[in-house]
Amino acid sequence: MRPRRRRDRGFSLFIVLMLITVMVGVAATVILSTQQDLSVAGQDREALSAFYAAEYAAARAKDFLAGAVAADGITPASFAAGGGWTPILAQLTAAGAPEGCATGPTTASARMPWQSLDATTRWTYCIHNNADDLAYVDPGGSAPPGCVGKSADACDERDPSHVLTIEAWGAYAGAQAHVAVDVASPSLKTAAWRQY
Amino acid sequence: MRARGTTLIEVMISMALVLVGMLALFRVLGTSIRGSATASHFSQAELRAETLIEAIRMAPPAALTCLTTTAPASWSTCGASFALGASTDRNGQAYVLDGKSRVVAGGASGNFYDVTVVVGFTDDAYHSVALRTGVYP
Repeated sequence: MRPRRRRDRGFSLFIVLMLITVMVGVAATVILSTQQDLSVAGQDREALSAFYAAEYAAARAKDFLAGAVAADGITPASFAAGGGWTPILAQLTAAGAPEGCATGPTTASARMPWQSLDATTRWTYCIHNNADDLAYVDPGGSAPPGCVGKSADACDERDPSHVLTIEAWGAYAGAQAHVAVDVASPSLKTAAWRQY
Repeated sequence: MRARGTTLIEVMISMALVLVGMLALFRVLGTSIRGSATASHFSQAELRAETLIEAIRMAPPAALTCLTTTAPASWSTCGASFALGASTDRNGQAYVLDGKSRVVAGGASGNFYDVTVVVGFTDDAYHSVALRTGVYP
């Protein structure tokens, strides 16, 4: 009897240790699951805030274009007859205007430094001639005529639909959003919208 | 006799350890349930803020002008879509349009609207979700 009892001694402690191990496992799983829930909800909010900051930037770009249209005295009639966005593209490409893009239409990047919307949200934008413009697609072509001696970045004369592209970026904490908006008239109504 | 006493002490220590472990586990579970509920409330508030900000983005200029001159609590007078929608969720949690929400006209053209929508809720404390964007109608 004695030797068996000695072997049994400590058995309940062993069971308790096993139970505690299981409980620690359950607790760890629950904590990890909750942290994941909170993290996903946080990432959603960051992405949404970055998206709306990009939309804010696009609206600011339209506001800038409205000011430029008014300053240049562009009307729907003069727009259709006089080379569309050419006067404004000329301003955007000249002297490194902050509203113009630093690189070409397919890999556009902003010259304008990031602007703060609040402590954690930033935005920026740039405006360029649309990448489908014939001045890019068919450089040196003559139908329709126009853009002789002008850079495609600064000439909208050969594009009958007169499309201008706004590239807008927003950032919130670790999330970033990029949208592109096409406008095709001085009224600045959105003709096309893309999100990258 | 000595052996019997040892077993009793052993059982008492074991029960004490299990009790402490279970108390800790219940505490963790309680915290976790509260954390999950708060995450869900944030998601619900975010959904309401997003719905409202989308309605404002699609709004005609006259409605935007109305929003600029109206307190957030009365935005629904500018259009039914500017109300917060369901003010409580399935679990009875209430959501409110925070007074910090605003629509401000400005910009170089005077046709730019700076829109902030803040949706708040109170569970163990007051929390809010703020979304801000710009609209050029």
